[in-house]
Amino acid sequence: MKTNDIGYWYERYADELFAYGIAFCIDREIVLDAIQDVFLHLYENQSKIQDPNNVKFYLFTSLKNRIISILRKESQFQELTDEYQFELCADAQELTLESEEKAQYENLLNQLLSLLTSKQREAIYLHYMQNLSYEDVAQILNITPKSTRKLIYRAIQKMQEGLPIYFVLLLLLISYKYSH
Amino acid sequence: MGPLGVNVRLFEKENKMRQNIIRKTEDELIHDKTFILWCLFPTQELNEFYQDYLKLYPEDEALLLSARNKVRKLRLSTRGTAMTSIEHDVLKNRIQQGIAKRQKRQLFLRISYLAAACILLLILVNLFQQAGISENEMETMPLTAESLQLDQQQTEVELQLANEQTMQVPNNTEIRVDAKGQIQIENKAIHSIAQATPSVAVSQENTLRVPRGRRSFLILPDSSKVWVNAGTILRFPQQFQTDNRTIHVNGEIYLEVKKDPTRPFFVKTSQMDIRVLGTSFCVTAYQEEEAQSVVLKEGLVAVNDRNGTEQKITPDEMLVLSQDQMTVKEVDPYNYISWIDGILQFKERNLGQILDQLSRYYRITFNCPEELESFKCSGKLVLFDDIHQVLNTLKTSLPISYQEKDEVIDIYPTQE
Repeated sequence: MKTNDIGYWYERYADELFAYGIAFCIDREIVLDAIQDVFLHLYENQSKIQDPNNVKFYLFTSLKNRIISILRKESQFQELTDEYQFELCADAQELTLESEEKAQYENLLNQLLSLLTSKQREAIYLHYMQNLSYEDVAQILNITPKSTRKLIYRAIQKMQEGLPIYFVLLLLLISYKYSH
Repeated sequence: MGPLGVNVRLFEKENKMRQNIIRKTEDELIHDKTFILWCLFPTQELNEFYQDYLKLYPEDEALLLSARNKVRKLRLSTRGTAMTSIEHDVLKNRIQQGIAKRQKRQLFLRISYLAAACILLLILVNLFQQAGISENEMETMPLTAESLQLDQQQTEVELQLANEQTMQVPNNTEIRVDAKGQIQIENKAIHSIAQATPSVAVSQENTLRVPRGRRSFLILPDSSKVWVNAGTILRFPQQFQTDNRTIHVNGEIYLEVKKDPTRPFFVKTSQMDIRVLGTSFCVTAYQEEEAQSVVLKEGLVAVNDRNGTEQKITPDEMLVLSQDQMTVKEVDPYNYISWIDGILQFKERNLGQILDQLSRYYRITFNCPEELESFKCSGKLVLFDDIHQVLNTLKTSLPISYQEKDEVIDIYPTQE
């Protein structure tokens, strides 16, 4: 890594880091400050990162640590380090469907996501949306890779089982109505 | 249970799964929850399920992939809106500034060990007091006009002792006050405080007066170092109190403060109190100038104005207090402390700015035409005792000349 790479890494990951940070339900300003710290930290520690493939993982870990320490400072109870919110929502705008149907998709997925714990949402976000390996996600969540696998598996299972079947039928019905 | 039991169970499971695999049309697939979940979260279990599906209905492979491509446009985003392009650019700028600051700091550490251990505080004191300060308040303030006013006739550095005795000190000479309150000038003991009770001893204050074109260097009883610039009056106790260390200044000083957590160090000017939180610092102050400022080289200082507002500044920052407003900006501290080395150092600086610094150092006024003020200069100027030597240096390197009348120096371009 070289000094001038910081700008490159910023262009590449700043938006993703912001999206990840904002999921913790904290102010935009706090997320922006945290991202600034993360990149300055990257600048100071760049000699330690030999493999550019590790930069993304480094940035995400670093941002998570920063946010946890901010939340810890805000919290009256220093011990409640695992108690944080992580919110996700579905975005169906890219789908080639009617807008009402898009809304139905978003509704369905949001219902499913609400069945999960914050940690489960964070894990599936990092693994499936940010394409981080089980090992990387495990480090960010501060659990073992095995537990990560289990956490994600249970999350998907919960979503599969959790929603009443009539909801899906309703979706089908609506799509039927629109196609005719 | 024997192997048979296991086989039966496996068979049952497989059979059950087969039963669950119902052939679907593309439209059905994209509305199927399991299918949607597979598209978004391809777990091993779901992968196996759809592998089985294709084993049963291999002709549906194209249909399945097409449905999958449609559903995969679904995204999971986090709450709120994404970073705006303005937020993106502003943050990038902040990060670049932070990096530049770190690079500068590293470079500076290499250049000067001394500077690395220091803080620079630059205070420009307003002679015309703020309208909001009443005369009563003025009296309670430690810096009254009488106590810290420089006699314009004075030509040499003077040290006025607590017992009213005044002595001349050679220019740029070290004055040392030891922990017992003994004063030495160039290693010659000149004053021994009467061994009275400590309460009397601590209340004794000395005043150092440095006229224009002169500098002085002082070592305080706690071994803190003070560089005193031209046109400055500094009041400091014979011995510091047990709970704080306080000095008063009108002019410009640069300090390296010895660390002592039990006795915080304060620098007081007519408009602010500076509390030193780091290890070293440097102060400069002129009552007659419009704005006061503090430049920090290293460490941390807190500045309080007369309204009780506190502002902390970090290294490479300059705080300016002007018309009751405190503003902080980034600067290269050496541009403000090079006078301690007896030089003015500048790079691509306007001639106008250089004349400003010279006028502060020599306490004179320049009259410079606007077209010359924007003239860019780089280099060093040695701050000779006599301003004329400095002006002659400028004259030989720039297409300018000067004329002096009544304390005002007129600068004008020379004819080519």
